[in-house]
Amino acid sequence: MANQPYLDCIRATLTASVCLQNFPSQIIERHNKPEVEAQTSAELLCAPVTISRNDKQMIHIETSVNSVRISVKVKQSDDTDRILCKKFMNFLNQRAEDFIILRRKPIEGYDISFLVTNFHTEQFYKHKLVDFVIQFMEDIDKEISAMKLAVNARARIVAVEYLKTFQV
Amino acid sequence: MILLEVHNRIVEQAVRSQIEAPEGKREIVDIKCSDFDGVLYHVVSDREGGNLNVSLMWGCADQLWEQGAWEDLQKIYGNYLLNEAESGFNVTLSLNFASLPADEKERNEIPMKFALLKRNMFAAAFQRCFDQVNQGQQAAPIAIDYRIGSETVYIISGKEGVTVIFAVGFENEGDQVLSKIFLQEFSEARRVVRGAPAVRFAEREPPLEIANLPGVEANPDGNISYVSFVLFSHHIDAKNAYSTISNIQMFRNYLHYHLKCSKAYMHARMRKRVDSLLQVLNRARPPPFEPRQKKTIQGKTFNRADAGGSAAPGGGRGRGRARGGGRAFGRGRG
Repeated sequence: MANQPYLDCIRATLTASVCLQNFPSQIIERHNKPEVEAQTSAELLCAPVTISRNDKQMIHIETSVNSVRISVKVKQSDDTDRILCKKFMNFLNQRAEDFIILRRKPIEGYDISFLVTNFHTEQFYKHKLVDFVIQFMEDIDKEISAMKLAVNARARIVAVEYLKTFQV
Repeated sequence: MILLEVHNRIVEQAVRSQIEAPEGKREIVDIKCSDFDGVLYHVVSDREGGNLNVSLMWGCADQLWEQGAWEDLQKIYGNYLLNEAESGFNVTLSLNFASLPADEKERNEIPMKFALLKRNMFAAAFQRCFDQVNQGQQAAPIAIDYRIGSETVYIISGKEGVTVIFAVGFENEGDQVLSKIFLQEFSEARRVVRGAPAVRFAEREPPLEIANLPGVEANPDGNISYVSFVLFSHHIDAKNAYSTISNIQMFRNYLHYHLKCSKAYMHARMRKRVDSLLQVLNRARPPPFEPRQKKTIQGKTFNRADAGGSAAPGGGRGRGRARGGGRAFGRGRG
């Protein structure tokens, strides 16, 4: 579908970004923090990259030496999309622990964020992690449009059934 | 089950089982159940079991008495209606088992009649307006706070018929946006359903017909939508008035019921989607390292001790020692 070049670009960028190694904190002894969250030293952070399809759909990738933060802005064309997206994102954020790489709160200006650290890349295959993120983005779009269709279909049936009872 | 039932099923079944129970085997009941719009029913047998009382409590009862509901109930329930309602309730119907009608058919209609008590009470307000419009007169606008403290229904008479306006409240903005989808379909369903009432809706702005009534203010922060039904002459004439009133009463609860069904459906979908995404994530894990099992020709089995994480204590050293003699560090012979 028309999304393909967008997703291919994201896949290539993510594969390049998710190159992480363990890096204990430089400023606090015996601490090990994801540097992209702590933002302590400039030399540990890479320049953030934004890939946007249009002004409503974009993805923001911030890399550091031991972690990557990926923020996604989901396509929302009208009020219905907006609240369906909000409901879905709330649902996912509450289950962030199950999803391991999901962040509990999205970054300002985006709908959902991931945090991948070197510990995750040690546990998981890197290419499959990238696959997961891409799949996640596709699934969200599919789910929101499916829910919107379902609500519209239900509304039509409900309205017709009710008004039929007034027929003489 | 798309349409909601107008009668109260619990009351109907309770009364029916009491009537049909053989004499002497009748149980003593004391049931408190609620209905839509904050209505409370109390079905109770007296101590000897000779009488069954069905009482109803509704916050807007006083407004309904003003519309003549008491006279209507007297016409419908006749001797069953008690003059003094049970304390804490607004109206009580009483059934004496010794004096049940002999006619089988009449007896069978009693449970349903009792279960329609709420409907019959509410109907009075509508019936007043319909009667006057049918005779060609205009009636004053009627407002019933059928959900005390939150929502009101307005019955306005007009030249073409009667307009019933519901002020429907929602818990949050999300619900109101979802309801907009439903209400838009209601407005457009007239194209598919011939002879249906005309439906209009407005969010937060009360329509002109009620804008100058007391208690109606435009509240930009509130989550209230105003839904107007224009009932035409064929809806309110004597033949169809009964079913029109039964159906129009249930609108607000019908809308909210289906709103909740949609939300439940969406939740189920989201849960399913979460499960499938978790499966994808699990595929990203490499398979766990299993200690390699080796067998000799004679059938002895060893576990190689260099399994990741579950190394046998003497493993490393054992390997070193046994290097010269092959891999067999036996754990007992035979």
